Amino acid sequence: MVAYALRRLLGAIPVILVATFVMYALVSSINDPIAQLRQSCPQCDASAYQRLNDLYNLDQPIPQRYASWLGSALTGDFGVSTSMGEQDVGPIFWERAKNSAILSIPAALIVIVFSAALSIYSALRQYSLGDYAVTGFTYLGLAMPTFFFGLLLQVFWGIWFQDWTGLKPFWTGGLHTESIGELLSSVALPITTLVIISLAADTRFGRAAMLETRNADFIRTARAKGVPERTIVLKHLLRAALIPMVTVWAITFGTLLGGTLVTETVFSWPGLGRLLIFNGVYDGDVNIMMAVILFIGVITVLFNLFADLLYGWLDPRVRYG
Amino acid sequence: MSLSNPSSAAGAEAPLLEVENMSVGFRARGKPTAQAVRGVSYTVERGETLAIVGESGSGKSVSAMAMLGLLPGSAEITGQARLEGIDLLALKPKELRSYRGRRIAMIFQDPMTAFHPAFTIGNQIAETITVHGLADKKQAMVQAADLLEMVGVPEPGVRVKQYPHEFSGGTRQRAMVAMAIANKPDLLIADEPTTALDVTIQAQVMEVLANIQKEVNAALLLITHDLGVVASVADRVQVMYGGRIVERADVRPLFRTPRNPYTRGLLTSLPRVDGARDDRLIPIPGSPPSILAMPPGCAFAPRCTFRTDVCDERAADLEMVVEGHESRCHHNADLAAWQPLHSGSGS
Amino acid sequence: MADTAVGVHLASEQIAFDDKPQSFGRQAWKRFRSHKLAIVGVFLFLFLVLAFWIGPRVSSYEFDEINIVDRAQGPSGKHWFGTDDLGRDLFVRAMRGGQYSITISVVTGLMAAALGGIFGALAGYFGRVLDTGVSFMINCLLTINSLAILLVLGVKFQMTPMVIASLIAVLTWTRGARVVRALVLQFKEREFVLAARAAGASNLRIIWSHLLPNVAGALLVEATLLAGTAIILESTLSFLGLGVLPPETTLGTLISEAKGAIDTNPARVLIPGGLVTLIVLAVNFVGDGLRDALDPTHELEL
Repeated sequence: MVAYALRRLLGAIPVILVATFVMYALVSSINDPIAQLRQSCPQCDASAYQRLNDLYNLDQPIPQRYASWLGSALTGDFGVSTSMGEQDVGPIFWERAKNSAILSIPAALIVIVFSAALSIYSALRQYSLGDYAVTGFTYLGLAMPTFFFGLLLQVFWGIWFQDWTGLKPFWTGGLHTESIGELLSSVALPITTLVIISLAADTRFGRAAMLETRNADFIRTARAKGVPERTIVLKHLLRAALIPMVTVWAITFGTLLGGTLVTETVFSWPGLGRLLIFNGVYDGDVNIMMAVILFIGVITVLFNLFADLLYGWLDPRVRYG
Repeated sequence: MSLSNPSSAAGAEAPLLEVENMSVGFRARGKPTAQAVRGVSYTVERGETLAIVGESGSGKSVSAMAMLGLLPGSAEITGQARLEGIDLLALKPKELRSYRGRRIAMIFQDPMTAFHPAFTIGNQIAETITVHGLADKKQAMVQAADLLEMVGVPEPGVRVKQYPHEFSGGTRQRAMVAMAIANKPDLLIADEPTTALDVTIQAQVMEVLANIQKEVNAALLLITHDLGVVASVADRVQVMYGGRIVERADVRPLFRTPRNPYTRGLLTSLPRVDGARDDRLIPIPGSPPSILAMPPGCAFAPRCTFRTDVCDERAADLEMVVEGHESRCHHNADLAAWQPLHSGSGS
Repeated sequence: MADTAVGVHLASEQIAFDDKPQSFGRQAWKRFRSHKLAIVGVFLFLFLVLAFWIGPRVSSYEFDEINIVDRAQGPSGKHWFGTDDLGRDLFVRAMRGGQYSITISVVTGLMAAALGGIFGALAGYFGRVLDTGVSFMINCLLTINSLAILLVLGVKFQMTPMVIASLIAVLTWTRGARVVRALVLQFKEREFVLAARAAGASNLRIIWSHLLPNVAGALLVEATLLAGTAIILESTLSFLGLGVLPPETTLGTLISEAKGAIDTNPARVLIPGGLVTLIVLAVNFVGDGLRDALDPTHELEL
């Protein structure tokens, strides 16, 4: 299994290299710091341009620039920001990554617990009112764009709820760290937003997995052996349905860690998503964009691998040769 | 053979299982109720082997599954199925559960899918024991190895720790037999136990099943469409068609002098290994009726060469034609003159 | 015997019994028709299409007609959905935006299905280098969150609806490709393909007339579900300010423009957002119905 993991990891390296190289080439050809400087500082002289050249190796072709960027990135040095006063990208990046994790890790855990619970409930009480409610929720959750759901929460808690009760229990934007209470109040709505979409997708998948497993022959065997219904569900059914669900959860975890872009924008959250969109894309900051993109790529690959390994660990039929 | 009266149970005389007028229907929204089993009655004596023979859709599996409460919720079951006088169909789910796997055990068709893929074989056999509180986990695992040895699985101590996918099809079905006899049940129900196996292994598994049945002195209800299997192990046979029992007899008379046109058609449509060259195979024309649209009369009438108007009007009763031989046909009297099949074979 | 067996759908606990053999197409159509949500989806989608294309004709306003006097109004009899900061009628703008959202989704679905079908079929049929290459490409695309790529590219391109549709299609064809690849792998060893090859049919002909018809159903399902994804991606992109150029609009752009006014006029966010949700809901209903119709669950034999 260790050998398999290592081989998979090695296999993922060219994928990450090619993907980041293509992105680097795209980002670098779209965003030219020289042109940006010309626009923002028409009076700057040749020495300013020379400094930029030295700072970002602009006189070199893109493949070489990529190579030197990657070399430093691997040592944890993500280069210097063009948009944020030539600061090192590294510290900014890690600070923002921490803020994103405050949202994404709890969100992922909530998704896992709730999708498991809802799937079990929905599959056991198929065609009940509760099952219809769960199915309705999954349809709605999958049909609603993330940003729209975030805005809905803001409208409800920020406007309507306040109009009715005079209370505003949650922050509708920003990270507030003055106290634990403030922190909880500021993470509540963004985490809910992150949870909803993944929860809808995973519950839908989990319910289908449960229903399929429920009709499996080995469930009938367990019943014929006289195993109590409760044990059948919690031991036999769950153990078998868990195999596909765990892989989906691992992928959800990776997606959430790498994909809080929209939610962070809606809730003005100082995380990686906002860093990528506002400082990276809008301000044309190559090193910031690339740091976030590399991070997303590595996280995605790692969690996909993790999902595979979990699958093999849970399903004795899978052997990695 | 008439049904014995449960109230006259004189201990050892009473049959082990008495199924009385059992019907099973499936409800379906917007469709007529599908009648899978229609008024079936039979008895199983202690230690005997009764084969239920029929095509897919004849209701042979459904009647057994109904007895154990293994049918989906849409099934409507009427009648009685008494094990030593206690009606299984009237039991609460929890009470019925204590019978399943302990008094009545089941062997399923496909050993590939009937075991849980993520638990070891030993674990699954042991669970049958522990779930009824008959041993603790540790003892049950020891018993599981013993059981595997009984059904002829080599190196049982190693195999108990293995997962189902590490077993071959035949060995897996042996393990299934071991699991079924774990609690020394009074009744074994085997639903097409060899159908999913390679032909070469079928006989071995069947032999193991027959031997072990004698060893634990259990009755065997063998559900199959394989007449070869029936001929080799069954004491009595009942043939089902369209949800009804159409013929019932001891195994020899049934094979030699089938009295029902359907049974006869079934037997003459099959090749015999020892058959003479001039034996011609005669297929039965047509196909079995839809359980959603059963003919009002005899279900076999549309395919039957002896059909008369009365066959379309109403179904015949299951009548005794000879001592110990029953057949459901309006023309029982005419058919009595039928020649026996393969009079030469008999060994 | 199997075709006359009693099929019991344990999953739905319903008895299914087919008396006469029917063509796959007819059976699929029957299954689709009895899928209630799919029918709801079809009618909802048709209703939205009609509303989006007829609505602007009914209204007396133009989508880019600026009227400062009437600006920033809530819904009223005069302006059904209210007006924006420039006094443009939001009903007409929402219908106009809906037209683009639907067009983008349909075009994206078709393009992504075509790309996925071609790459998937080539990879599955020819295998070897081509398969490795396509798999590598898919892995690369899946490594980077497609929204991030769209954002980076969004700055560079002049965003017209066609460009948006093409970009989304280029990033989302991977799922269809994997489905088609798996199916082609499975079908290419089947007798009818071997027979065609033995009869001297060219590779292209085998793919086109023997394999493609067999994967068309699965591809149609993927295209439909992708159309739903495309609407969400497009509206998200517009929301982040990288949508079509003004004065054109899409539903996502309308939401983005209304963000600032959310405190005073939440309807400006709720209406276009609700419309996006309805379109995706309709498309997903249809997609689910198609999947159930074209990929029937196995029946359990009793």
